[in-house]
This record gives sequence, structure tokens and C-alpha cells, in this order.
Amino acid sequence: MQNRSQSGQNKKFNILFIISTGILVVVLAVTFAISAIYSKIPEEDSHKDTLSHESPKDYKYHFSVIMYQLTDSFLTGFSSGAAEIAEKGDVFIEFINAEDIEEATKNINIAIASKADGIIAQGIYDEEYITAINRAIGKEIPVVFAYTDAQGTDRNCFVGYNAFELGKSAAKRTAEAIAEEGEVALLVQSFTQHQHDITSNLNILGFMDVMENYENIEIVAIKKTNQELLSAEDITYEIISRYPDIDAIFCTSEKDTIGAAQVLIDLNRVGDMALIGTGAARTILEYIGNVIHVSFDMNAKEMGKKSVESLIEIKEKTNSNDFIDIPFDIITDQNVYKYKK
Amino acid sequence: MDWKRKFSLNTIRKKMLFSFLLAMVMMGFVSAYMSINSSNFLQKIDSMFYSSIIYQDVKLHLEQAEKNLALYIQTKDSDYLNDYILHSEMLEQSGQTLEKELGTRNPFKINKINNLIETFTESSNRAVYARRGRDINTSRENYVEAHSTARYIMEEIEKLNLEQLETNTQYYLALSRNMAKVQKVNGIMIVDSIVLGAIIILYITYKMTDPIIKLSHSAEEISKGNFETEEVMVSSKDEIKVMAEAFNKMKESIRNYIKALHSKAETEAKLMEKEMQNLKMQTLLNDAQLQALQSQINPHFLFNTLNAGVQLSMLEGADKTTYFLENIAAVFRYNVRELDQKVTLKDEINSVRAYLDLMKVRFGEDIKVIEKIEDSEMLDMHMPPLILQPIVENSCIHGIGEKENGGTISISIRQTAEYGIIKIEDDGVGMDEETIHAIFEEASKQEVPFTKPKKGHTTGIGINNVIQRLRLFYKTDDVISFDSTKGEGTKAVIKIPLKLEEQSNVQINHSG
Repeated sequence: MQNRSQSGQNKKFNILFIISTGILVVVLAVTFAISAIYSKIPEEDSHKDTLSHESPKDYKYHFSVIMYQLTDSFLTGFSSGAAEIAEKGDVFIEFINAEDIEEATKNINIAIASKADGIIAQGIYDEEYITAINRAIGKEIPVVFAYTDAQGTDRNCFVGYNAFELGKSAAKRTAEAIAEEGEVALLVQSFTQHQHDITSNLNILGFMDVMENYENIEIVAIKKTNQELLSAEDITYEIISRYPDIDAIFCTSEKDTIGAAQVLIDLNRVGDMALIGTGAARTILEYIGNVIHVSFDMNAKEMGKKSVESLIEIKEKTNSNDFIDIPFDIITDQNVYKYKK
Repeated sequence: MDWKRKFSLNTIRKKMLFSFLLAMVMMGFVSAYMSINSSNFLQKIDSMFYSSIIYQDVKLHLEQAEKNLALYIQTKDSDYLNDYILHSEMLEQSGQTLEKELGTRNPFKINKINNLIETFTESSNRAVYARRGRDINTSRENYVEAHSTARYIMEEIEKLNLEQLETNTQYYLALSRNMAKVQKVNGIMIVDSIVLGAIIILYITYKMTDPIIKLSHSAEEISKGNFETEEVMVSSKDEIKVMAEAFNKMKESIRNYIKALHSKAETEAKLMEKEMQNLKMQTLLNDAQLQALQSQINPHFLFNTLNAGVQLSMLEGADKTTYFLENIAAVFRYNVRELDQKVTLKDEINSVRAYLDLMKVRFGEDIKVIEKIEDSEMLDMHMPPLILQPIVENSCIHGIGEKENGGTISISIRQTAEYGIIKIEDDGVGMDEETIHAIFEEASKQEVPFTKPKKGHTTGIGINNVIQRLRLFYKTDDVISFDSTKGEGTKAVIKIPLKLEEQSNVQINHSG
């Protein structure tokens, strides 16, 4: 009897041993697996990180795109268009949005020193900047100006809208908005106060060219905004306070348009003043039909595409165009829904 | 088959080796894993800073090259030129290292830096050549270009460093998060492996020592002389099992041996006891024989003395005394004979007559005797001796002796077809039924004790002795009967079966 109970106890003891050993082995295996997995995870992450970078040999060309103080919406459109073509053409694009003209100049110099295959930049009339551009051209690095053009360089090509045409179109829209009668002001974006700033000059010329035909419309002010923060707001306040009876304001840049619209709202002049703007930023699209009468879209994406395309063409010596016109669109309350998508 | 035997844990040594090695290997594995784990961690940390070290290298050589270039252009000292050449070469080497080590991680930026380095060396070399050719203007121009290029390189490297720091920070955060988890899990793993090792060692130790402890307990019990301990059961298949089996066998055989010794001793003791009993019996027998001899002295001596008395009385002419003594002698002679010698009825009657004559002397004429013998042939009939006399004696003493004015004893003998009937009657005090019953009861007992006869009255043989002898002789219980009425007398009837009498006659003759 005792023996049997003893053997039963033995059996229990054995089972207990097997169970506890089994559990411990499983725990050991599980902890080992977890430990091994967790030890590996960051490695995989970093591996993924390196994979996300493109490998060097795939690129035919390396282009530097140096833009100057562009708004996010324009830059996003421009860079997405550029990237689209770059990907197709085996081109690596380095985007730089310079904060000031010195930075832009420096980046042009870096692009030269780092032997970039091509430069896409804005045409800005600044002595140092133009020198750098010319040095690049001297080192046989092709330069394409985009959005704004500048005189005094041997730039290979300009890709942008027809500023004169835009001025004309804006004048027509303004006249229409104020029933061909009243006081009108111009806010012209300029990257430099220099007279060599072709784009803004063409804007003004185009606008004035049309306005000459309307006898009852008086251009009371033409102001050049600079790149400083809140520059457009200050100038808009100034104009309105000096000419309280003003009926319309035309802005040639996205930044200025948003600034001017803000002032109209602040001064409660919405409705009795027409704002003709430029750009397709989200805020502008919101204001179309109420604060803003119409806005001109520069087709930033198309501009980006054409810039890269023309630079590639220059590299392959198939381009002969000096100017590639990017047609602008007019955003009205009729078609604004297309842009909001 | 062979390998299976080789590798099965059938010996203590293998078991111990296996369990300890298993525990050790497990611990070793865990600690090796921990060590690899931490070295991996260190390696990862190292790799985080590896690129920074290369960047630092590039910066150092760039600074040195630029400085020495400037000094050379200023002083035209060839030492500076040598240093410049050395550092610009090393700068290019660092650039190559950069390309080789980090080229896949950030191809464009590295390519850019390398291009910048190339530009730097080109323009600085041009500056050096121009300086040698004393073209100070060109030299200065190129130096300025080299200088600004150097600045660009520095800036690019700074950018890369910042980027690297950012990714490193993220990587480090992820790593440290994971490492915290790994650390916890590793802690569990260590504790687990320790417990597992302990359990394995404990289990094997227990499994190995348990049967040894059992064996030792059993051995202790046996050493105290207790062979009735339980069998030691061992489930393992090692030397201990062999030991336990041998131990059990040993215990069993010792127990059997002791049992055999015990039974032998027991039989010897029994034998001794028997012998002792025999000896005792012998002694008792001897004693009895001696006592018998002693008691035999009396009648013979008396008998002879009586004969001397008879002769004396004859000489003196005292006839009555002679007659009396002759009767006494006759009764004695008859009484001292062997009880298994059969006699005739006539002998019995004669003995009774002599006895009654004695009694007449003793009791006077108070006793009357009437003899009535119908068939004289019966007198030749054989029968056991001393049957009638005790009955008559009983009648005299208990029946008539207790009456004041005497009584009559009548003896009659007659024959029927099957029986010879002897009837002895007295008109004494009689007996009640119970007394008769008690007499027969006493006689039915197997062992009839030798009751000592009452002194003075009897010749020594009791009624129950008579009954028993009669029953044994004739092999029937219905051989004697008493009939008595209180105050009126007693009648004893002896029925002797005639056929049996003949048979017994033959038997007795045979035996005689």
C-alpha cells in the first residue's frame, strides 16, 4: 500500500518536474525570441532608412534648383513638377529655397564648386547673384531661370509666365470689377529694387497699357513690395489710408495677395473694394468670390516640369528656345472648385 | 542498439555528467547570448558615431590643408607646401573613405562633398602653381576660391552631421526603447535559466539520492535486526537499481536463512521437551510401580500372618477362631488376585460366602443370608473376579449396617434362554433414584479415579469399578441394574449374556 502511494507520489513529482521544466523552457525560448527580435528591429529600421536613399549611379545629371523666398504652395507645385520630369530623365534634383539673396548666391557658388550638371534659379537682379550665375555659365554649367527673369546674364533659357500679358489681363479684370471707373493701386512683387527687375516692370507695363484705354480709371499708386515679413500688409494699409476711396488693388504675388486680403478683412473693406490677386494657395482659393475677385494661377507645376525639361534639353544640346511661356490661368468663383480638389 | 546503450542514461556518472553539462550549457548559452547582445549594442552605438568620425577626419585635413596653403602663399616656405600636399592627399583619402563607407547611405551628398573637395584641391593647386610662377593675382584668386570652397565643404559636412545627429537621435531612441525591453526580457531569461538549471540539478540529485537514502534506511533497519522492512523500490536503471536489487535479494536470503534456523531450533526444542516428558513419565511410572509394590506388601504380609494365626488357633483348638481366620484368609486370597484373571461364578459365590461369614462374626446374627441357586450349571460360568463381593459388601455396610435390627441378604442365581441372572437383594435402608443415577453417572466416566476406599469397611473396590469392569468385559451397558426403594432395600441384578459369555471365554482363554 505504502509502496503504491510512494510510487504515486513519485509520479506526481515527475509530472510536476516535467510541467515546470516545460514551462521554463518555453519561457526561455519566448524570452530569447523576443530579445533577439527586439535586438534586431532598430537595425532593420536603419537598413530601411539607407534603402530609402537612392543609389548614386542611377543619375545621369545632378541639377541644383535654387529658388528665392517662394511660398509653399508655389514651391510645392514647382518641385512636384520638376521631380516628375527628373524621375523620368534620371536626374537628381537638389531643392534649395533660399531665405535671402546672399544664401541664394552662396548656393549658386556651391553648385558650381560641387560641379552640378545644371542650375535652375530665379532671375533676380543682384550684382553678386548675377556674377555667380555668370561664373556658372563660364564654367559651362547651364542655367535656366524660372518664374522671374533678369537681365545681364547669359542664362540659357527662361521658363515663366508672360508678365506683360498677365498685367494686361489683370487690368481688364480690374476694370471689369470696378465697372471701368474708380481708383486703382498696384502692388508689385520685386526681389530687388533695381530697375533691372524685368518681370515686375513687365507686369506694370502690361497693366498700364490696358488702363490707358479706360478714361475713368485712375492708377493712384504703384508700389513694389519686398521680401520682408508683412511688407504687403504695411503697404496696403498705407494705400488705403492715403486713398480711402480706392476701388481696386492688383497684387502680383501670392504673398502680397494673402497680405492685402487680410488687410481688407481687418479694415472691413470687403465688398466695396476689388482685390485682383495672384497665386493658388489654399487661403486664396478660400477667398475667391468674396474677398478676392479673381486670382492668377502661374501653373507652378508646369513651370517646374518645363524648367527641368529645358535644362535636360540644353544638356543634350537640343534646345533652342530662349523663352518658354507658361500660360497662366484665371481663378474665378466659377472654376475655383477645380483648384480646391 | 549499441549507440542507444551508449547514450542512454543508465549510469550515475552519465546522469550527473548529463545534468550538470546541460545546466552549464544552458547558462553558458544565456551568458554568451547576453554578451553578444551587449556587444551588438555597442557596435550599433559605434556605427552611429562612425560617420561623424570620418566627417571629423575630412574637416581636420581640410583645415590643415587650407591653413598650410595660406601660409605657403604668404611665405612660400616649402615646409608649408609639404604639409599642404600631405593634408590635401589625406583629404582626398578621407573623401574616398567617405565615399566607400557612407556612399550608399547618402550618395548624393557624399558625391557633392567629394566634388567640392575636388574643386578645392584643383583651385588650391592652381593657387600653388600660380604662386610658384609668381603670378600673385591668379594665386590669390584661386586661393579665395579654394577658401570659399573649403567653407562650403565645412557647411555641407555640418549639414550632414546635423542630419546624422537627427537620424542618430531617432535611431538611438528606438534602440534605447528596444534595449529597455530587451533588458527586461533578458532579466527574465537569466532568472528563468537559473531556475531551470536549479530544477534540473535538484531533480536529478533527488532522483539519484532518493533510492540511496531508502537503501541506507533499510540497511540501518537491518543492522538493528529488523528484516521485515519494505523492499527498496528503485525506478531508475542505473547502478543503484543493481544495488537495490542485490540488497533486496540479500535481505530475502538472510531472512530465509534465519527462518530456517528458527524452525530448526524449534524442532530441537520440541524434541527436548518430548524427551523431558518421557523422562518425567518414566519417573512417574517408576514411582507408581514403587507405590504399587509398597501397597502389595500389605496383603501378602497380612495373608501370611493370617495363616500363622490360623495355625496358632488350630494348635490352641479354637475352632471358631480358626474358621474365622480361615475365612479372612480366603477373602484376602481372593482379593489379592489379579483383576484380569477371570474366575467362575462358583469362585465368586465362595468368596461371598466367606465374606458373609466374616460379616456375621462382625455384625452377629443380625445378618441373614439366603442363597437360592436354581441352575447349578451356572456355577461353572466364567466372569470377571470380585464382582459379587463389592455388591454384597455394599449391601452389608450401607444397606443393613445402617439398620439397627439387622437384615437379610439374598442371593439368587437363575438362567433364562439368553442370560444368566444373578440377583442380590437386601432389605436395608435403600437408595433414592438420584443416588443410583449418580452411581451410573460416575461409572460412565471414562476415567475412573482410584478412590481410596473408606477405611475399615470395604475391601477396596467400589461399585462403579464393578459396573465398569462388567461393561468392559461383556461389551454392553445393559449388564447390571439397581432397583431400590428408600427404606425397603436394594436389589442388584446382573445379566450375563450367555453367548457372549462363551465368546469371552474363548477370548480369555486365548489371551490367558
